[in-house]
Amino acid sequence: MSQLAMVIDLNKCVGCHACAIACRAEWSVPVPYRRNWVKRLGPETTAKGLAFTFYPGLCNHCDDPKCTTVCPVDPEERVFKSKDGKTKKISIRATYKDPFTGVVLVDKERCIGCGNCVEACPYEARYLNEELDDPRADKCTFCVERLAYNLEPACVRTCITGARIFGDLSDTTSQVSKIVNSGKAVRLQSKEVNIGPNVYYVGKDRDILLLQQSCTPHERKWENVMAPMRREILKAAIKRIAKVV
Amino acid sequence: MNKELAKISYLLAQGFSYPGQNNCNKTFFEAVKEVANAFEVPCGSISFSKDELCQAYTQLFINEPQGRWAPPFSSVYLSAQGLLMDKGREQAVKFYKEAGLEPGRLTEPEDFLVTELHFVAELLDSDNLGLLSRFLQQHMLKWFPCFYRRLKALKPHPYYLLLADLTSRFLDTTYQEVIDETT
Amino acid sequence: MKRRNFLKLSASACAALAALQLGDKDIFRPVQARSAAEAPKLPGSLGAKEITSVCEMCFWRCPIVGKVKNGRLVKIEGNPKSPANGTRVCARGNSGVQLLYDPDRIKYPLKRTGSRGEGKWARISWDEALDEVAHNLKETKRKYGPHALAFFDHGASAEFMRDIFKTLGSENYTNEPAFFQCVGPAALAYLMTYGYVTTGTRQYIDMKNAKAMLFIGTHIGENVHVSHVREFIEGLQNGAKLVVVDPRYSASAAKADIYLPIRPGTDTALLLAWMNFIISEGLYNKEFVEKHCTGFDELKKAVKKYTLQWASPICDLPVRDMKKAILLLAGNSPHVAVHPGRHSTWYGRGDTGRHQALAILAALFGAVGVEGGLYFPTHVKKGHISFGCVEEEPETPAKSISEDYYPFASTFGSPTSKIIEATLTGKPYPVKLWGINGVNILQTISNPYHTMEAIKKLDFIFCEEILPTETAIWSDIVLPGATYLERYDTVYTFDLLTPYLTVRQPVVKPMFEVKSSFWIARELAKRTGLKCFNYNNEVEFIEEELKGAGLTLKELNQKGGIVSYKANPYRDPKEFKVATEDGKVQLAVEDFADEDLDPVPKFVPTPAPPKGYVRLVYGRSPVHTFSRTMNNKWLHNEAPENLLWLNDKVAKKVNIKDGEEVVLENQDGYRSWPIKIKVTPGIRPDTAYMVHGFGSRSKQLSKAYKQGASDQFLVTEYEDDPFMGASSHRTNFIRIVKAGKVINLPELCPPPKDIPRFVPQKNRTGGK
Repeated sequence: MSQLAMVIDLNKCVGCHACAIACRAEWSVPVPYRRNWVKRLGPETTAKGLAFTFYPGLCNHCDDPKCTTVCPVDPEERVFKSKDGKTKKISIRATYKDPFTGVVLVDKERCIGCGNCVEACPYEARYLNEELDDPRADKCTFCVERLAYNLEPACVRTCITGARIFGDLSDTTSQVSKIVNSGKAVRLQSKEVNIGPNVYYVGKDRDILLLQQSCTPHERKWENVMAPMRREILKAAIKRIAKVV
Repeated sequence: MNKELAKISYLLAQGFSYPGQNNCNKTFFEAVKEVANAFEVPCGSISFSKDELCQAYTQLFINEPQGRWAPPFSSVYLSAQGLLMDKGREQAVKFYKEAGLEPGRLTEPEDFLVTELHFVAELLDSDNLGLLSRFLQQHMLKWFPCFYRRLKALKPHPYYLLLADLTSRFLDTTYQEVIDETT
Repeated sequence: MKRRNFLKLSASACAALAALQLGDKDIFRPVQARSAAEAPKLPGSLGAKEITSVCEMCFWRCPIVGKVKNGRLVKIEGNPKSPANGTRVCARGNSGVQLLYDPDRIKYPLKRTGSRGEGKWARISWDEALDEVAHNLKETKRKYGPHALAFFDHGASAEFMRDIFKTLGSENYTNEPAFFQCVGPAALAYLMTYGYVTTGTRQYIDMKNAKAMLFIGTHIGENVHVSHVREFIEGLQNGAKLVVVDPRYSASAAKADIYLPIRPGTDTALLLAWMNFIISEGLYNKEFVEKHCTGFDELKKAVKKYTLQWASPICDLPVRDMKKAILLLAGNSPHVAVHPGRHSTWYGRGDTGRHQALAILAALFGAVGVEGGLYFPTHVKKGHISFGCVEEEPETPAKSISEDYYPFASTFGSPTSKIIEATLTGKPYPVKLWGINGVNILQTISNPYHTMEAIKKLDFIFCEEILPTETAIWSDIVLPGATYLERYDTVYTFDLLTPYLTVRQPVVKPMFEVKSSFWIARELAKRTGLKCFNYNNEVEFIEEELKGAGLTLKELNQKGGIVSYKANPYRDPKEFKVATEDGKVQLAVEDFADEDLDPVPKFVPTPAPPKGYVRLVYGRSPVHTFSRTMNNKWLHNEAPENLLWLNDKVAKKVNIKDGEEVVLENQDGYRSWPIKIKVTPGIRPDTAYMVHGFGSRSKQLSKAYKQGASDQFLVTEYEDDPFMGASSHRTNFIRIVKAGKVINLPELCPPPKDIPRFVPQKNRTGGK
């Protein structure tokens, strides 16, 4: 089965923030929300020396996503199609993992804007635009809309040094597979948060150390999401009904 | 009645245009005063010098060094980005197209308050009340109140406060009127 | 349904309405068929119409495509046909949409109605604005002569207006801030050593093919120009070793193999000691020096006294580290990229010498005209155009600002500091009118307090601006300029490793009443009575320039808006020749000696911080261009304010915590706006750092106003470079004010005896 993934090479990354702005421009993501980000780390002393690096982050499209489990919307059956015409019928809530690409998406039609998935994500990769009358969860889609037109994700297209490498892990000839299989790439995961993120990082030891020390999540945030938050769901539903009427 | 409303809309559009010969004379001020009376909006003397209005207009609607101004474009209020030429302008253009119209001459973006008031007048003039009610409900009444609030908070020049008061009343009244007529 | 009690118009109201002349009734017209087609509804930028152009979020000018849907620019990407950047643009390039559609933009010509700096305006017509500017140009010239007119400019499109000042006969047109506040010393040093401006707007340095690189203060990564960064990273990926010399652990330092945290102001000492080391150890490229350089003996003699042992306490670097770095560099010669730097107006005295030392070091490695070294520009052919501007009465004033103070200033124009001084004092002659185009002078020039005083003395000041900057609020007339996305400029050729020819063209039609710089300059020339600009519009001269390249605009656009050429950056040793008089690299510059300046650089120490203070240095943020982009909502969101980098040991001693907000006070008692502290081991204890361009004093810039502190407003003490009159920016010192209490900072690396301490001097140009 396919799994789209990204490797970010911190040896090439200069922390220019082009990825963050290209995404904002492509998908009209309003300030201060974001689908991806660059955090500047250091200069700080690490066990491997003085480090100054960056955390270019985005949704990890996890192997075992927790955001999809806290969605209170009633599951519905959907038929998914692969590129080569295979089909698969699975039951999904308003946020789900595509069985053929491994991309985690939001069904904007069915999302009720309760915010459970936003709270559940240990990487804080989702947002709810509270300024809208009718907020919906939003997040990185790995630009599946662009992939359908054979265009790479907007952040990859603009990355000035080619630090973002995108591809399919199931394709052993892809560059992402090669790097991941070489064992040099790390994922931001801990004993507590171990859900198979599909964004990988490579870089100097000191930079990777600083990245891991500062940005690895430890809080199992999805366990704190009141399941299901009846009151919020009700409020969201009432808001929707009021709007239709 | 629609023809009169159309005239008021043109009048307000002209009021929100940059002060010049057409909207800075006795006849014009007189007409504004009469409309204010009709809306029962109190107004004192409204004879102002052109220079005074030019400076007030520039500060309120064009550029102002304290950042205390109210951009007269729907786009600024209708999307979180607060930019020109955004969703508000897209919406406005869509309505214009539906009426088979497009703004021809102005250098301002299509969602300029003046242009939108002209559009209201055009729809009233041509009795296109169905479209007018949707334009008001789905577009203009969604942003004008935000603009109006922002303007009032600035404690603006009394003349522009009066015009904004009148426009607010006018839009509400017209909306009620077309709702009544179209239902 | 109950009918509402609708408003009743009285008879008099009806009469009043009927009497009205509603002049603007014909705003709407029926939809015209050709504009009726709507773009297909695809998500994001998919399905947009694409128009190629050239970016100007900074001066690097990357080729771009604008993606337009229904008359609205939705996204900017790199031009995929561009050999330099391909589909890539940086954060600023991606944010051009925000500049274009910023509601704060200057929309119409404005006339000042309050006092200067108060920012009260009224909109006026183009006719009124242009006539007023033209009248003042003529009147000022009539009353005080042509040199009473001064012009401050930056960017390609400002050159049109510069022609007006030139034609009127003024010597005071300056390429500001590009030369006298930025590249001047470096540009001069390289020009005199190699005969061409190896570093100016661009740096002809082949990092991509280098085996080793040397950066002195250069912080690529934080300083972002797409093809430059790409070549730097490619070089590292190809295995190049990197030596970074910087008091701060910069983004470049973080990628370095050897990092030397040097004491600020002592770079030349290090470079001279390195030169002496490789000469005395025989590690320099003897063949290159013998065949292609002059002045070696003079150089050898002059640097003899500078040993690594001597440099060690001055630079505050261990001999071992300095030696390791120079061995690494020399070991990779001639493929050593000695980066020439760009911004070089650091300490006044010694700035030209420092970059001359860099230029010489490259020659000692033989790192010129070879892979990985300095290289030669590739000339891209285009048609020559002339605007037909003829200076009416070229005359040199009795005492010239441009020529009589600094021997090498006139190469670049008139030094800003001298123009401001003349405006303030009337000496050597009065300057009474300033024109400004594309530069925010109050956030650019040393001692902005002087600049503000000078503006108050002017008869007239006007500017062409896009946003209401500090400079705009001080102007009598503000002319609304078109952004790069709304106008044409001249044909643009790129002569670096990936040569190309392209053209800037409007991606969307101009907003409001903004006009292109060419249109404005042409109208002004007409109204000033000048015979100038014998083209009706930009397309006319673009076609003529393209004709010289065998192209038309239509053909260029059919080719994707860009044509690439083969680069010719290297030279066969047999044919090697630089652009100096004798074709050789000048290791000692006799022209300098002729003016009683040092032909070979000397170490001139810059004064050390007074007790209780640390030196203030500054640099770039990858998401901002100077002070121009701080009001851009997207960029502002990425970096809303600057931070003061303070050494962790210093912070601990005075009990200042990371993230604490403080005020900075400089040696002259000027205070900054509040700024947050970043406590880090990545900066020397005698130095503090902030990103340049923040702390805007224009309230009109609704997002940038009062965000962070302005380094510029703390630069009150400056010295002029004795070679060409550029003003220094790193000669100021700060201490901290926390909760109203002044905190003196401890001195953890005291300067050696050779470096004097700063003493305020009353007769300096800088200071209060």
